[in-house]
This record gives sequence, structure tokens and C-alpha cells, in this order.
Amino acid sequence: MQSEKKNWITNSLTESLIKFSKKNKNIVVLDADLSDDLNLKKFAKIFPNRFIQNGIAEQDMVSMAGGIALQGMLPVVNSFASFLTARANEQIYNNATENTKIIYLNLYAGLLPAGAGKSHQSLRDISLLNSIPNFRIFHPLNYIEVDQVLKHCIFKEKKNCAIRLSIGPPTKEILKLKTRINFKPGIGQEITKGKKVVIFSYGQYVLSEILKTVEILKIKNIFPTIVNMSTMNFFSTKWLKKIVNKHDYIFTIDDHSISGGLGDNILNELNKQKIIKNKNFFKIGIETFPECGTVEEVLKYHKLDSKSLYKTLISKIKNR
Amino acid sequence: MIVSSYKYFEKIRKLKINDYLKAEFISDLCRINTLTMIKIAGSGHIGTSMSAMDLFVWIKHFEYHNKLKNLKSKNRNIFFSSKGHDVPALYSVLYSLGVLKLNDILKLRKIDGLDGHPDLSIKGIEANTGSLGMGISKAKGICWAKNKLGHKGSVVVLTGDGEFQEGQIFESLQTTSHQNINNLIVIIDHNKIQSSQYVKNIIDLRDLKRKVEAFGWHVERCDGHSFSKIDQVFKKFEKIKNKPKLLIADTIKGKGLNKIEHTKVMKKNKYYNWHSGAPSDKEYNEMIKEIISRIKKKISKNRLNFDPFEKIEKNKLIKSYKSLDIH
Repeated sequence: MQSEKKNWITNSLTESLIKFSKKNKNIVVLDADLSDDLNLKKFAKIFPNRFIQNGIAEQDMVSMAGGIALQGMLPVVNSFASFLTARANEQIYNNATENTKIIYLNLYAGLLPAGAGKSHQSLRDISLLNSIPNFRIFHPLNYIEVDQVLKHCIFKEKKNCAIRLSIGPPTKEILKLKTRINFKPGIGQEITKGKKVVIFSYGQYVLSEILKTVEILKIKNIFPTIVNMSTMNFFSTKWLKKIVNKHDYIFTIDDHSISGGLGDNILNELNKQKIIKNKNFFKIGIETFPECGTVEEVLKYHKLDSKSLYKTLISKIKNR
Repeated sequence: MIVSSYKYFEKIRKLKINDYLKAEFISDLCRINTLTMIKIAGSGHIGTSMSAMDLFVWIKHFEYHNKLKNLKSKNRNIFFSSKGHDVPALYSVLYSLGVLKLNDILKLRKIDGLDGHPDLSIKGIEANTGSLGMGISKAKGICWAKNKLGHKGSVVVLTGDGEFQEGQIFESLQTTSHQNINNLIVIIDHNKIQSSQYVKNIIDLRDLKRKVEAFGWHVERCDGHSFSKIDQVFKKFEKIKNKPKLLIADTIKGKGLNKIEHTKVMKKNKYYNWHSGAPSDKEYNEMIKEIISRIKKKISKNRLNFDPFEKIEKNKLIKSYKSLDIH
């Protein structure tokens, strides 16, 4: 059954974690009894002495990781993003003030799947970590990128890392993707090359809807550039300037609350670099509590399905 | 203002008297320095600094001998306070060990001085604390990693009693024993007062010993101001290898200062008003006098021939910390 999940982000994360843990003996995995989606049992089987089952006690788990990091090891901490980053936020902050390095796995990040409802959907985790000065936040698009992001976090990154992980199988659109994913921290990757309009987004669910939207936009002779922006909170200024300057309309679409997500971070950077002038900037994201339902129902409710996105985009582009 | 210089602590350590008596002298001299630090800063948690002082002194001077050269050793003993607001006392003890300099401790709560709560950037500090409830979890992580990496050394963490109202404490009590992290010692500075009121009136901890034992811990209780009793408990703990250990140390908030000992204050007042803040000039002078006379009595009682503050009174009486000579 696990081999069928080869191209799932979650499964790939664990395979990569096992691979990298063979090289880096300092890695320790802590789990708050949410290991099934990641199949962390496989990690625990291979590295029984480097896996800590901490039970449903996120605050204790995060502080324990802090203590382990103080001894020079590299803790990788797993729980659902909504619990990990909100309930244990103060513990994460406290660890960060010690300038150690810890990798947090924000499992089940974003709106979807939406069957579990608002207690589980995580729309606040980027904003909750963003205000901690030494944090890097990523949201890999697919099973290939998650390996690249994890590799970067383990071997290159000096700061604390949070990796947002979408759960569930990859979408058809992501499976059909022709672009060879090549993750670079702080730099997005153009999945489609267009003109006039650029859309920054991330995550398999929302980006799939954008890919579908682009198909409909073709009829109206609009060809947007889609950027897979897997880095959430820091950007290469040079790259950002270049891509923004090539377009007139800039859209950001968050799989997160509209407040404090990628859109806000890009807007802040554009404003800081004074490259927002004469550009039309639109921020799209989730503005209410997340709705419960099927993927299709909930995307539609939050106007993030391809038809709603088409309407939103065309209204903004037309009116200008 | 009065300070007791490092050289007096060195002198006391070399005296041919028993460790308990040495600890009594060191504690009281550290009380003088703590008072002066808080007085200069204009704020600081005076009550808990005094209740935790004897525990700090015993652990740092006599139980684990944390000296400057050991500070970076992977095999060092690690001690930190989870509540953290008792840090003026800890700084004064670190000074008495030669880890911090006089110039450091007299710049408490200043931008180029020592933080109001513990920070790793300060020599001798092992963890960033102050927000209550996280310490046992963090100490547990340190213990786990020490065991995993084969590093020697014990780990001791001090908590408050009011701190036992934090939920994370109970998460950590449960996981520590389940995960067999048995090289951890927790000490509760049980001074019975949180902020300005009795813990039992805010949220009663009830039978703390039985509660903690139910989580799979070995629990001892003793007078947290009796060095011989603290020593006995530590010796007992050494023999217990199959459980994490917790000491409920019965202490007095404001210990060593008549005016602010909670047992006295609460007879007259409804609220304990010495949780934080600095004494007035008059109060400061009275407090210093009280400690000095106590030390002098102890010296004559034990027929000792030394005077750790004659010179302090004459030469170290200062108006501001800037005019101090630095050792």
C-alpha cells in the first residue's frame, strides 16, 4: 500500500527523512501521536533510538525539542500544523530565542482536505511563525520538492524551519505537471510562462485550481505566469523585482488566511523595494473560518475553485 | 550601597568549617549582592530570589561545583530555573563562583547588562526561561540528548509552586517517567505565595507529593533552607536510578529578611507586597544591616577569625555602580 503512495508529499517526506538521517546522525524525530499520515512508524523502525513518541502533548514535545537542540542535536518535530504552531507557539518562540535550530513539520497545512473541519484545518500557521525573527517557512508543491526542501532545511539552513505539508494524494494537475521542479530558497519557479499577469501561489490544492483557471483564461486571450512560491517568508529581491517588473497585474493566492500569509509577505517586500508603483496588486486568500465539506464544496465556498478564481481574476483584469 | 566582593567568597570556601556553615555565609553574602543589584536596577523579583537563594547556593557551590572552566564541557552538570524570575539570586551566585563579574551583576536589567529573565547569552545561564511551565520539558530534552550522546552530568531544574498551575508541567511529569528519563531532578521552590497571595487561595495544589508520585516519580520533601537536609535528599536521589526525582523544598518567600519574609508579612497584611520591586533607601539600609549583623553573630558564635564586610563597609560603600572597582 505504501508504494502506491510514492508520489504523495507525506510519504516522500518520510522517505527523505530516513535517507538524510543516515547521513546526519544528529537528527531526532519527535511526534505527538500524529505519525500515521507521514508513516513515521517506518522511521521509528529504522531509528528506534532517534524517535521520541511524546503523546498528545505538543507543548511538552516542543520544549523537549528545545532541550535536545541545546545539546547540539537537530530535532524534527511533527504534529498537525494547527495544533503545533498555535498551541505550542510560545514554546516555539522560546526555543527560537535560544538560537538553536529545529525543524517543525506543519502537517495538514492549509484548507484541504476539509472533511475534518475548522479545528484541524490550518490557516494561521504562517502568520503565527512569521513574527519570530529567525524562521524560514516553506510549502513544497509535490513529492519531489519536499525532498529538496527537507534537504535544504537539514543541510543548508541556519535558522529554524517550518515545512508546511499538504496531506492526501497529489491532484491530477500536479501529476500532469511538465515542469521539472527545482527548489531554490527565496525564489519561486515559473510553472507557466505568460505575460501581463503573474500569479504567486503554492500548495498542491490551490495551485491545481489555478492551473485549471489558466486553461479557461486562454479563451479570453489571457496568459498568466504562474509561480510556484514554495518559500513563504523571505525572497530574493533581485528575482522578485525582475519577475514583477515583467508584469502589470500581480496576484497572490494563499492556502492560508488572507492575513499574514504569502500575499502579505510579498506585498511587504514589494513595498519595501518600491516596486509596487504602477502595478495592480491583488491578494486572494481565506477570509472567514474554514468551511467543512468535500474538497470541491469547500474550494467553491471560499471562492478558490477554478470557476470562482476565473471570475475574480477576469473582473480585476478587465476593470483596469 | 554595599557589595560583597568575589574575594570574600573565595576566602569562605577555604575556611576550615563544614560545608553547611560555609553555605550559610555564602547565601547571606549573596543576599547582600542581590539586594544591591535590585536596588540599583529599581526592580526585580526580591521575594522569590530570597526563597530560592539557599537552593541555588547549595546546588551551584556544593552539589555541582560549576566553575568557569566547566561551562563549556559537554559533561558538565546543568542547572537552571524554570520560573526564571529568581535570576537576580542566580546571578549573585554565579558572581560568587567567579563566573560573572561585579560589573555584570550591577547592571541588572540594563541594556548592556544582565537580562531580567535568564538568557543564554549570559555566562552560566543554561536555558532561556521566564514564561512558566516549560522548564521540566526542556530539562527532559537535555537529559534525553545527554543520554543519547553519552554525555555525563546531572540535570536539575528549579520550578515555582504557583508554576504547578501550568498545564505543561503535567504533560512533562507524565512523559518524563514514561520515557524513562530518570537522570532528571526537579526541585519546587515551595514558598507558598504566588505573586501577592497564597497559592492555596489562588488554585490549591492539594497533595502535591501524592500527585507527582502518581505520575511515576520519586518524591522527597524537606526544609529548603536547611543545607544538611537538602544535602541528605541529594544523597538519597543518587541511589534512585529507576525514576525521575522531585524535591518539594519548603521555603519562605523573602527568606532572610525580617521585613519581607512571607510568614511575617502575611500576619499583618492580606497581600504579600514584596513579589517584585525594589526596596526604598531606608528599607534597603535596614535589610543590609540585618544581614550584616546576622553574619557577624555567626562569626563570633563559631569563633572564626575573619570579617567579610569590614572592607565592604569602608571601601565599597558607593553611590553608583559606576564608581565601583572591578575585580
